[in-house]
Amino acid sequence: MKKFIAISLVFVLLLLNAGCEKEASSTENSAVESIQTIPFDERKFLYHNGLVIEYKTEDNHYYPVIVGLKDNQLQERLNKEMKEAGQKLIPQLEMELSKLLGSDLIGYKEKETSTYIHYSYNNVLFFHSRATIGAEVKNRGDYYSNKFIYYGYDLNTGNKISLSDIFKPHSDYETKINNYISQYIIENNFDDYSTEKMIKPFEGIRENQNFTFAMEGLAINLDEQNEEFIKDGYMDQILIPMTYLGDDLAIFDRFFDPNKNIFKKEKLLKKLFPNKMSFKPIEYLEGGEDKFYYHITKGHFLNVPDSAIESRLNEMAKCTFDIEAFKEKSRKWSEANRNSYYSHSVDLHTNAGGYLSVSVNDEFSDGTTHQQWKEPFNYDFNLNKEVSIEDLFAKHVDFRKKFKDQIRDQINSQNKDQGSLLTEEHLDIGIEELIKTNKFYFSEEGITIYFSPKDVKLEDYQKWVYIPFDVFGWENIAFLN
Amino acid sequence: MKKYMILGILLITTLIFTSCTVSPIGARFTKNNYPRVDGSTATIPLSQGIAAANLSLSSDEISDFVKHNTTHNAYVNLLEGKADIIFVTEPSSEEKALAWKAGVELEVVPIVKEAFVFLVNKANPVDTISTEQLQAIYQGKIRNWKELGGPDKEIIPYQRPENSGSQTIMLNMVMRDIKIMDAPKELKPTEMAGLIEVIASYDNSDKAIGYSVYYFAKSMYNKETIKFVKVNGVEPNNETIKSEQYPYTNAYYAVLKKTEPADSNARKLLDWILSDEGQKVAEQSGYVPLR
Repeated sequence: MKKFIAISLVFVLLLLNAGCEKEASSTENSAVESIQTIPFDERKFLYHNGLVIEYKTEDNHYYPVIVGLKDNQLQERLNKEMKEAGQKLIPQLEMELSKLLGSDLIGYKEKETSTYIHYSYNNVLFFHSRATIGAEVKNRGDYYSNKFIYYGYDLNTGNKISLSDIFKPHSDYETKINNYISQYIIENNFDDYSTEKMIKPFEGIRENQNFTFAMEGLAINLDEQNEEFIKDGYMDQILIPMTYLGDDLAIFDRFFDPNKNIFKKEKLLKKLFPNKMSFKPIEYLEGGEDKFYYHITKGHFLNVPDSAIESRLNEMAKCTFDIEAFKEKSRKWSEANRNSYYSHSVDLHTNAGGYLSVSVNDEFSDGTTHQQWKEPFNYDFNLNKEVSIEDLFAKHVDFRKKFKDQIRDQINSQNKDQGSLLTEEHLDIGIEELIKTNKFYFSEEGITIYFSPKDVKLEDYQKWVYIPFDVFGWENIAFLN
Repeated sequence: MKKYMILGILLITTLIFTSCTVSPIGARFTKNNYPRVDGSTATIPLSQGIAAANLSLSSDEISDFVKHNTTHNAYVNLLEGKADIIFVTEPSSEEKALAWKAGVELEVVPIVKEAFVFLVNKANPVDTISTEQLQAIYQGKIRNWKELGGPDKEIIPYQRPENSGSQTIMLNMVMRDIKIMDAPKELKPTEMAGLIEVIASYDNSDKAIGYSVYYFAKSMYNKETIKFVKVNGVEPNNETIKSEQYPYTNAYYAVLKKTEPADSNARKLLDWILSDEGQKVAEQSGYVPLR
């Protein structure tokens, strides 16, 4: 008898435990796993995966195709999964629409899917798919509905990335995420019944929480499981910035071995990792009347590693324009000057990998003339020196020639009807002037240079010429290699 | 021996069922005679709980059956005869005016309790604040936590957007006729790539104090980062809200037309909600019962 009760109890406990047990994730399975990670604040870059990504369209399906993995079989499988991910959503969406619209559903007009890769670094790839169906509904207009899905893959094995894979083995990431979401709920006033955004208190992320990862951070996708939140038809996401997750993150190192290249490409390009410094707007002035309009952003730089540079940047960012005088003068202007305009802004073109490239921009127009000023500043905090144009390119690269080709093509095509074409002499003088003044700014995609040789009349907007880095060949961009 | 085996199997079956399903309660209504219910988003779980206890439907069927159209629309639907009973917050002056114009007298009956709560960072040593001190903080008269027995740090009293539910409660229930100070502001990016100055959101820094409603807040603020402030020494919890010992309590209401017949299904449902059984269901659905 006692034996039977004991067996019954054990059985009951086993059943209850089976009902409540969490599915073991790869992270939990490897609790003793040791990952050598670079401290979050010290990380300067990741590596682009050595893949070429092309997008294809077949019927109404748009999807990426990757090339470049050494493991061809894995590459084929991933391409198949990316191609089919969106299409697999169609029957689910049809079922949902049929349930929602019932007998009012006449039929489907359009079915389309699109899939994009949004993160591809350090041997990890994340993509997302969207399916859209347009339904014809009785006595109503067409009804469009979307469904989204997100996947992440470890490119070493082709295994799907779980939420726990993103974090270090002993990270209490669930609590951290839940605390962030709680704060997000307050900040967005979701905890106020009048916003009607939530039906009940937040219950925490779910065991199989839908998520994705991007350079901006970890996005928690609110799906059917997160029933507390009212959905608006699109995938609602809560983006948790990388800086909040900081040293809990393991995704950059867990799947990446610097001594093992899984790509056919021999040298991988760097993806600069965001710096901690930022420009914080503290005042935004915007206004206008019949004859004028202005907007001015005032702010200051934060967390700049060097205080002298911080002071210099803050001095540069100041707006000294006399807005009251501008208003007064504008009111007296004639009809011809009625579109007077002034703006002041600060743009950060690169703020990653220890590099900072900034421009302070002022634009003025009195309706008849238009002026544009940009004051650039480029700094390398890794070497504690200002960045020159030469620093951006590999030593052997003849960037002057590429600059000339690009400037000639761009400006001469704009001016061809006016007959004021640039000569080789103009180009030589302009480039040498540029090298001397170092008047440029850059992003990870390209460089914008100031070209204004004497004796050539160019509009202000023509003087700033953007040249994408791919014309030099990515392997020749020094700061990305 | 057989008897024990049967008992064992029964025990197992009972445990499995109690852990996986809602205990079935006798159905009092059918889908055909159940009153037309509408309401706010925040009362959907209450409405689902009430429907589950009164209808023989699965949880999926209950989710499909219970549809709330948000507070204002629910009032409009009640006034236009498209709903028989609604579960909402008190009517606003706009909704009272709509009822007056429609010639409808509303019956507003509290069905569950709600409370207005103040929150601070868990590391803040200040645990209790009096009603007068709260008014003084939000008038800008008390500006430092040391005046409340805390550290020598500035108090940042965060507010909520104008006309939001929480801000209306703050003005009516806490500040009453006292003028509230200007709220801290912050710049936020707009969709048009500009910046706009908005009421700053509670940031849970060690200087901050903010407020919320208990129903939404209770699950969030038992974490290690945020805590509720005791008001006049009373902590907001189900018991102190139920007994109204906590000073800032209000309610969610059932609203119906006063002309609703005594034997109507809407009144039958309301009577059931106010019964002990109904209040128990309300509590199980996550709300503070009336008693």
